Amino acid sequence: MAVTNRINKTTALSALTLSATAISSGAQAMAVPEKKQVSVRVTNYQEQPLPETRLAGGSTERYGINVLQFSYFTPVAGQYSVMTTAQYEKLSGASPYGSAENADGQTEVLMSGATIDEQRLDASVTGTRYFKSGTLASGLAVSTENDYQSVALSLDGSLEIFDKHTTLMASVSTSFDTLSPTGPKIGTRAEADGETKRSVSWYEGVTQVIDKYSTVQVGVGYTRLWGYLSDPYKGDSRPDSREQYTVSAQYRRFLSDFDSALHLDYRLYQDDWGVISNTLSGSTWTDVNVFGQRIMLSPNVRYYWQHAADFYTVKATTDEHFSSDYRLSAYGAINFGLDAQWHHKDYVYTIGVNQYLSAESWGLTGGQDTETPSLVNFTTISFGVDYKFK
Amino acid sequence: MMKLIAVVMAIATLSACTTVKPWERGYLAKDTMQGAPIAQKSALDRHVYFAKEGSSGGGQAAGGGCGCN
Repeated sequence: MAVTNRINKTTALSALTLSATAISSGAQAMAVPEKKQVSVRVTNYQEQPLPETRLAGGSTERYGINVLQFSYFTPVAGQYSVMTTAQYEKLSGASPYGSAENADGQTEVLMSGATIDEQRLDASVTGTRYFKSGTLASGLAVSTENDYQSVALSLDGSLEIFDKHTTLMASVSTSFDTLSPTGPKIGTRAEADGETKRSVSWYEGVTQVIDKYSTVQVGVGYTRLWGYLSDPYKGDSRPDSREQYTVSAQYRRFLSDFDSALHLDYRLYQDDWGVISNTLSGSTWTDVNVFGQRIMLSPNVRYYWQHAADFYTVKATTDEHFSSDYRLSAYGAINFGLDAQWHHKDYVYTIGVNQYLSAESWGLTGGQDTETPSLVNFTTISFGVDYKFK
Repeated sequence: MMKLIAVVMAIATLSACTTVKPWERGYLAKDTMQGAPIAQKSALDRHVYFAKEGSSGGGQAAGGGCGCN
């Protein structure tokens, strides 16, 4: 297995051509990619069953989801491009209604029956205009389920400065969602029927070329949500607005001795519900030559932990706001996975596996004594094909 | 939080970096050096974390919602 070093074969001319895409470690690129590309990816997502000893009712079988993704990219008239995506999800299994402490002080979970069988379809189209030193893109995305509709608009821009050593990025988006819960129209399901949720979000970032091997991107984000933010299937009561702040950093370094790219990402999150989270992730992307074929291997690991929302509780309460949704509890999670890509002529075949594990005691800070048996563990297996038109 | 954001942005705008000529950018131009070398994987990962965790965002403006969260 010989490590390849294709870069030595890269001519100065091609490096000049490619350099425009190197500035941003985000999605933007200043030069219009020349080839049309179609990509298809299928993923099986499977959650582990809930422990039977903590089941208060319903099914222990949790969600299994099959996902089909499609995307099509095409350059237009030399200065524009259009990206179209679609994603179809077919979901079955049971979901936690809520958690509560029993007489022994143990937390038990009330699950739905294993009869939930739903589908979701989302689609988006993004048009991008490429300028000499920047890009401007606008997008429309829709998501539809039998009990939830969402429409989102976005605007993204990037600008290269300082002789292409620095790229400024900014994006704004807004979404309009409508709830229509299914099942018996009682309690919060009746209350939520026809309710709406809105959001506005912005992100600003800077990507800096550090040297010929590395870049760093840092950015700040702000999102405000308002409207009906409770979960009608969990019978909880949440505030009707939420403000979220993020600070994030992405470091990229090419390890030329190994023909490998190192990715290190960090995100700090805080909101006015009391949730604070830290996310650390790392991966390597290494080209290897196996019997003359180019194979790219990418192991990855991600560590996440969060503090609980101020109103998270598994005890009976008369407070205005309360929720026993495990996603608002304090916990930590680790994800590790491996992706492999085979580059063969105009095709790229991808296979990936990931394992996500979580536990209430895995957070570095913000831990609490409450048990959270509804925390989720899941496995994903994916297979994808990309084709670049000649 | 706002102070931290200000500090991060200030550090980010410092240009204590090496000048890299266009013909020296071959490594930086590689697919594997971009933000999301497998775009569909990254998009689905974001969606799953959005649905299964109590926080989201970072790296771009938030997109639309779904009934999963």
